[in-house]
Amino acid sequence: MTMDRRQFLKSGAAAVGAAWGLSGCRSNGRVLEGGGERAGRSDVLKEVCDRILNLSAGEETAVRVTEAQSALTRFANNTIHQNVSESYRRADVTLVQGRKVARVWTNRFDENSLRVLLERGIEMARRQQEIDDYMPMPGPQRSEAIARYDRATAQTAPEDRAALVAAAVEATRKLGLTAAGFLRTSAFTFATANSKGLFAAYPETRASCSITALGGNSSGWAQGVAPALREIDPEALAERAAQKAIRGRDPEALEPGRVTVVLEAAAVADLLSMMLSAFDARRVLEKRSFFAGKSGQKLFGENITIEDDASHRLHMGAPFDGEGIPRTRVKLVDRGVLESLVYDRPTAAKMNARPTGHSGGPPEYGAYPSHVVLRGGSESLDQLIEQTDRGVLVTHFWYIRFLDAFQLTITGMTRDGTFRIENGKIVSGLKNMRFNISIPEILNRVEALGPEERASGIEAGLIIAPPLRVRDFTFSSVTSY
Amino acid sequence: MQDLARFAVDAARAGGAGYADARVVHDRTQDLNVRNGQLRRSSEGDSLGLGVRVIARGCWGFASTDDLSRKAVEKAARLAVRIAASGTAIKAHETRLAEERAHVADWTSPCVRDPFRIPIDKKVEYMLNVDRALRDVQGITYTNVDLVCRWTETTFANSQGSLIKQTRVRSGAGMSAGAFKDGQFQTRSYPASFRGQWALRGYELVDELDLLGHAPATAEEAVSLLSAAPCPSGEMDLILESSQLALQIHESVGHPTELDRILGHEANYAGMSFITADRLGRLVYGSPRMNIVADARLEHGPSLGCFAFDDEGVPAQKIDIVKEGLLVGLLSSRETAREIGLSSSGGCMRASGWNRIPLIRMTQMSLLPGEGDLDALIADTKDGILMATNKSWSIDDKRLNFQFGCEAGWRIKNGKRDGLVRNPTYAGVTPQFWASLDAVCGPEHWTLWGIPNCGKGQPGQSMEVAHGAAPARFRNVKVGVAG
Repeated sequence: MTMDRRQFLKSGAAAVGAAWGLSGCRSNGRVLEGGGERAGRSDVLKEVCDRILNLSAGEETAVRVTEAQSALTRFANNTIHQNVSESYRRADVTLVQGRKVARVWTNRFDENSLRVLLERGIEMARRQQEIDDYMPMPGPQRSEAIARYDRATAQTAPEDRAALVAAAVEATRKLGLTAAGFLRTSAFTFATANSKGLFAAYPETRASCSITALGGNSSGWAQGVAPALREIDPEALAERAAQKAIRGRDPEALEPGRVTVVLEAAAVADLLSMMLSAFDARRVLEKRSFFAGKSGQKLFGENITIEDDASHRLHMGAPFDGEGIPRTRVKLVDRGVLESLVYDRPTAAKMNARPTGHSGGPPEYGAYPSHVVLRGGSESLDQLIEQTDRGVLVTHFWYIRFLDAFQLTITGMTRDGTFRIENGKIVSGLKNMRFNISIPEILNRVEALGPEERASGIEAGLIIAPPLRVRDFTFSSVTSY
Repeated sequence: MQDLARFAVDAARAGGAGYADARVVHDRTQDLNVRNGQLRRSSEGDSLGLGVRVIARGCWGFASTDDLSRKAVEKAARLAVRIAASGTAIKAHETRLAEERAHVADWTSPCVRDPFRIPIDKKVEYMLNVDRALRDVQGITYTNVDLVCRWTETTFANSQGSLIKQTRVRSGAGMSAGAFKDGQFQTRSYPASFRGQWALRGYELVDELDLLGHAPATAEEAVSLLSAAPCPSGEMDLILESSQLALQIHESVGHPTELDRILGHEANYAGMSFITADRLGRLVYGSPRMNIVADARLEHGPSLGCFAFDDEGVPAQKIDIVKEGLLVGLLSSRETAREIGLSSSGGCMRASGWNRIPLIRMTQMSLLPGEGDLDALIADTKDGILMATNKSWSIDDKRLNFQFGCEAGWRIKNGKRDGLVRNPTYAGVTPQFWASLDAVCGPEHWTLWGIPNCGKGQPGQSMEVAHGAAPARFRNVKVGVAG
């Protein structure tokens, strides 16, 4: 599939965050040879940043360094078929000469390579035009200390991943199904510094597991992500995916039209992710956002409150943005009313607002709410289903794209577990369906919300979201499986 | 780099690998963007590293590093072997590869004007001129101009004696203009959306695209779309211009014919396929007008899916995928080719960088041209719509149910264009849609489009591919599906 900007952002190391402390957890398994040695080393990255800043002849210089060690064990047809590991360090340097800006990046850190790189950057900057809205770099900042680094996760051995995958596959196989998916463990450190004395660093670990259980004519899916591997239970995920595949056997076709849907949290995250770029104040300023000219207006239902909160107990990612500005907690939507946008510094200055700490780093990225929380309600997912007379349960979505980005109208497909609900019970599997709908329509038709949970879909990065029951969800066609 | 690649292979073999290959990849990218009259991105960088892939105890393992000291490379090679051995925990079968002879080669892609040697201020000045020409059109509220150049040197070695060096230069450029009015936003792009046209060429591509010359018409069309009629809803004949047809090929022919998808390897993410391997040679994919090849050779054209050898050391080749409507070929690797009984790989394995394993990827998958020109095709259409330039794309995970949106459409009535149409969309089901193909324009209208952002794999990879197409007509297609 061709990636859109949202997926590009999701796939990149840009999504990786930052924090300060270490959890100090003990390793629970064999130690990977050299495993984790590139993780959690804020002091080492400080030295790297300082070295680059000292070599730079730029009037202003900013450095962002990402260091990562990541391994992924992938399986399909009940066997491990891809099994990979990577280790890298990358520096991204912004150089300024008299309001002229250039950016250079490399993964080569010997002194000669860095000198050549920085000279090239200065030369590029000199040859640019001046940036009208250039803002001098910020000085030292103070970010909240957040600990999301787990040494055991950083040191997970390939044998440990394989054993967990084997258990998950077995849980699926014993039910007569086939499993596909992955188990990934990663350790990152992200640091940012500039010639004005700013420095911030954040180490983080991540474990994620995704499983698709395949039956003859049905499939089920489950996925989990957490800072520590011990919080992920691949076997339980496999069982959940398998039960979906079993319940979905011999799926029926539902006539396209408007129907009440119960969306699991992953499906909600998939949909919500399509709206997040619209909160970028620069897009609003450029009149490219649905929210342009709508500040303070009631756009969604009374039960919709959306925040961006890097310190939320379930979230992950750095407590500072790409410029090193602390991420502030922002209420984007309060009981359906557009309350605030997210701002990088240049746009905040133009709009007479305060920067919120949501810059993607280089100015071209604008601002993005990367720690979104859709506030939940009191109903459980089971209760949402039980309270539905006739409806459809959606596990997650696939290939969501804009029909009109400005209007936030989208299309996409259901995937891996779509079910008919009658009289509060799941009665059969359904063939996958295409929807055409606008996100504002969805958020105006939410009847009930479940509890907030850590949700990540194939389409979305991590969002804290509840399951929802939504009336009049528009399905336009059905596919053959 | 050749010594280093060989060293990694030897270290893996010494560590217990039955088969090993290594790639040392050095990438360099320069990326420029002008938006609304300001230079918004001016970046350049490089990445150098090594990835070593092994089969040990019948399983795959891969490790990569950007530390190119012998010690670190040896460590990566041994880690790859250890990772492979861990796979025996649930091994279903021994991994085996189709035969491939050893190749020793040094290949450089054609490039007339090295894009990295063009002074950056000249590029920026040109982009600002293009941007100004777009904004000179009354009603334009948003402009975007992109110019990208990439250089990659890959050194491949394997334990079967191959040693291949390839150097590839690519360029890409494009622009778009947006108009906002009364709560509506419309965009037109040239020569295609999503950052324009890309090719395995130098700066001569940028010269030929002539963004400046096309800027006024592009911007005027964006403004005109604001007052254009909405897309009609119903069934009618659909003519797709070539860049939209390129994406249609990509999504509904390219991905479903990837053998790893067919065999279930991508079931958790990219998905599977409505095709099963046993339908090869039997599945009627489309009408007799449908002839599709996957051709990575330079003879097919210098675009993003062109190379001399894939990342398994298999030579570039031309594969017939659909011949007169019949499925006759699939995109394969050494492993998957052997799995379904093919004698050799189709040479489709590519990795997005040194830190990723190669996956089965489209190369240059193209609909071969027919005859006649677009005006004649329109003149031959009684009731239809012409759609151009992709805006939205979505297809199910087995590649059957699809829906596309385009930037602009033109209603066709009684053989003539009858006005601009905004927000045009169409939908269909893959085999039925291709069965409705009844005309493809001739070679003079055929364009090979470079697509730089095909996503696949876990961890994710973004790959460069290409598709050639000429405008073509499909009968009785559902249009206006998203109103």
